[in-house]
Amino acid sequence: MTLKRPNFLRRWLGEHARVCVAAFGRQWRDPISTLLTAMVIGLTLALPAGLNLLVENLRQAAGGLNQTRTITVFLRDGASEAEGRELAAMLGRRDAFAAAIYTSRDQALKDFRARTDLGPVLDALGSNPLPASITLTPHPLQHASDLGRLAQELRARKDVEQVLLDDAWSQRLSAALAVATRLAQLLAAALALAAVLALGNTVRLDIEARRDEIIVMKLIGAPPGFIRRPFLYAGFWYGVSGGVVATVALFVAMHAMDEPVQQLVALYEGAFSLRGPDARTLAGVLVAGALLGLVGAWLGVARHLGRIEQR
Amino acid sequence: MTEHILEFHDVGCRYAGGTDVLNGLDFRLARGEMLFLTGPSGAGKSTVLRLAAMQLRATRGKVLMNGRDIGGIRAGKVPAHRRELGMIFQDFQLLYDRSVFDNIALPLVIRGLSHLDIGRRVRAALDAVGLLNREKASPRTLSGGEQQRVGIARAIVARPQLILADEPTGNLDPRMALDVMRLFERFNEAGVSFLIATHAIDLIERLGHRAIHLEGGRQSAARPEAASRLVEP
Repeated sequence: MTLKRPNFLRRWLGEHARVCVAAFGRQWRDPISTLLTAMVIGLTLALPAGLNLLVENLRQAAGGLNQTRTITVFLRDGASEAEGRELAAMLGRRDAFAAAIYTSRDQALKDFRARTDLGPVLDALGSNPLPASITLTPHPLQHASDLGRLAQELRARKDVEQVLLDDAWSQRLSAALAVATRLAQLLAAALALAAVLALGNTVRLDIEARRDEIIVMKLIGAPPGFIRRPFLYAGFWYGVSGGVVATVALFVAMHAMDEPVQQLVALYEGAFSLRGPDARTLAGVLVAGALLGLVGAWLGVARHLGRIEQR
Repeated sequence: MTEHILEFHDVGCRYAGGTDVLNGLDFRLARGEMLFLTGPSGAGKSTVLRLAAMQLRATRGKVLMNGRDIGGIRAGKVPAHRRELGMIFQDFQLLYDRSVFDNIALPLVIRGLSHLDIGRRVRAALDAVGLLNREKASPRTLSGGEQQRVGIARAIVARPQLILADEPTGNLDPRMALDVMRLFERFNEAGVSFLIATHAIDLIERLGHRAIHLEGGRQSAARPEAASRLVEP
């Protein structure tokens, strides 16, 4: 009687499905060990993912704080109120600015008196020393370098005495965010390496625990791929479990950070709410976990499986 | 198809430490023959089987299976070579976390047979070794003789041309040992070739098959009394 083999693809897929389910079942039946391994991978994934999320949130917050930032254009004394208002209207129509508000010299004086106790000092001067000004509010997404260029353009005008644009803090923040982004990338690479090594070791222990089975498999002619497969799927499931742990850790961390961050933002009069991981981030964490699991398992298998032979 | 299923031509085998475990071994196993290897511990009986199964490679001479020199087989092709054999061990080498059925099915799963074929052939093998009613049992719950019969069923289930058995009765009492040998004879009558390494000279004598006596890695002319009465090639 000849051995009847089913369709190759069906057989191949069926075998993979069987081993995949069996590997999941094996881990399910050993929850403590699985959870410990998943936590190692989960924290490895959660740390860089969390840092990345933090950077994204800071970037968003910086955008929000941008709204509270203004460019103040002080006009020369010779410029009339009509010219000032015309200039403000012209600037207000530009895409870069959300608002342009003209403040006359008299209005500036009134505001100054209202805000300070220095009215008698101004009276002693005999004339109004305050210039007319235009307060420009940039659009939130307006890049800092564009604003610098616009300020430069305004400074070149004859009717403009001085332009104030305090963008040093914005540049510092951008630089700090760039450093944090790079740090997150380096951390991710280092922790990924650590996770791969840890998983390789876990798979080595799995291989040792199933030494007898592997010996029997080899003796009865199992191909290397057949012997390797359960360990690769084990790595895959460890990685996916790690991804789930990382996802939970991210949500917990975001929830814990939300209130203090809201208090901090309120101090800067910004409108900002902490953004949790979106679907793309979560999918990325799960896929990264699965890939790390597979790579770690592959390394473990490649290193240790060949050494197991009948004594 | 060649007349001999397995041939050893002036085969030597030296371990990494420099110890010669086989020296100038020369014999042929005819298709459908049952051949015993006897000799004291360390004589090289298991080494012969390990060479045939490609767990070791000869350092001298040639080992042919079906006329093909297996010494030239690449490492990646060794599993395919082993799938042409059935192997039986003294310590049974069963997987104790799986049922009797799953143990016997293993060679067929590796070959990618359908569930239907696996079920049919495993039950036929179980029937042949008299364990049809124990397919769901764990090997742990079986006696030594029954466990060896599971090992035999696993070896025959994929219908190999040649079965290598290393001290298959070493862990069994005399009655069970005879049962196992009778089982081998039944499969041998059906055309399966056997190469069996054993200490059980009285059993060999009782069964009356050809035997090769090894001593210090060489074929020995001086054999123990019982073995000397066996038929020579």
